[in-house]
Amino acid sequence: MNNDTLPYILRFSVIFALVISVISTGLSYYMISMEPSMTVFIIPSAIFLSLCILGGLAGLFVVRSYVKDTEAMVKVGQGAVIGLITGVIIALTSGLIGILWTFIDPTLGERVVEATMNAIDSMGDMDSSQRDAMVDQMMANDPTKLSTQLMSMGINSAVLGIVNMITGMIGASIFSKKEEEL
Amino acid sequence: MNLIHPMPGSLRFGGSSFWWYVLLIVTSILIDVLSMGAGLFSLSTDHLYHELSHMAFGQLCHQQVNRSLELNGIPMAVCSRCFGIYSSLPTGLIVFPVLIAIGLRYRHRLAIRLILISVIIIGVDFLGNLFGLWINTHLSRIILGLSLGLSLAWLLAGQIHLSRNLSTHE
Repeated sequence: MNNDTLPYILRFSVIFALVISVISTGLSYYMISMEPSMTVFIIPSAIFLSLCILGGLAGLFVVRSYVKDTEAMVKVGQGAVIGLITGVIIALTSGLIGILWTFIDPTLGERVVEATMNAIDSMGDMDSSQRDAMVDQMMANDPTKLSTQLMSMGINSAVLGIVNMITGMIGASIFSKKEEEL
Repeated sequence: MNLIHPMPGSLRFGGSSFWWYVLLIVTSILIDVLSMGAGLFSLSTDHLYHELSHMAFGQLCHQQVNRSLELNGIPMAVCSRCFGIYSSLPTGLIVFPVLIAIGLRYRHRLAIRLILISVIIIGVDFLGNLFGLWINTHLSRIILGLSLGLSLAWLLAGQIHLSRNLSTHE
């Protein structure tokens, strides 16, 4: 990997991690301030998901920005490395910010779980098996435990790294100039 | 003499890039298997693998149980749309190079357009469902996911074909 790409990787990774962390923390407070209803799920989950999918596209954005500024030829393999590193840094940085936030507001995770449980209970049309499955799934990923957050950070690093590796390769395929054009 | 006319944006895919493509196939297969969750191995929801697989996709998919397929009674770790993407990507990455080799013509611009069209249709489908204009089904979500996964695979597989041609003719 070319050292010239490192500033681009760091810039995009930190920006993406900060945006994801700030908005997802904001969404947590929004969720606990809402009356229990389906809205507690729909709006925050749609926004959060859009953000995270955007996080998965970071590799593509880094390659695009680098190619645009330098007009360099980025091989698909280089795009893969750029995306991989970008994804890992985003996951580690946003995970770290999440852990640090628990020192500022230690009960936030518990309140989010409580708000979500109340919202699930408010859904009268949901059958009991679906409700139990949702509760099981949520408790399996209990966000209040530090061990869960650390494990989540590790897994997210791997998954976001791989997803960004793919988008980095796609970015190189789409945006990179071929040698004849340089 | 230049025997081939690569499309704009084509790249060399020789050397290390070829191995990245192989790695891409392997990792996309692993992601596909992981996305199917604990049900694939007939494990229960209490198993650590179930927890890990759901955690892995927690930031990429809403994982709503009623919008996810089930395997052996256990919901997958991703929704049916994401499953469509994750399952079609490795399939396309393996199948398209073969199809191109036997005569299917790769067009770079078309591949990019197909990706954009797939993303737009998925977005429209998502918003239409969100605002109650229509209700999408497992089948419709899987088909749209498949279209995006195959479009992405088509782009990447086409690039490897072009670069191998470049290497051969140099």
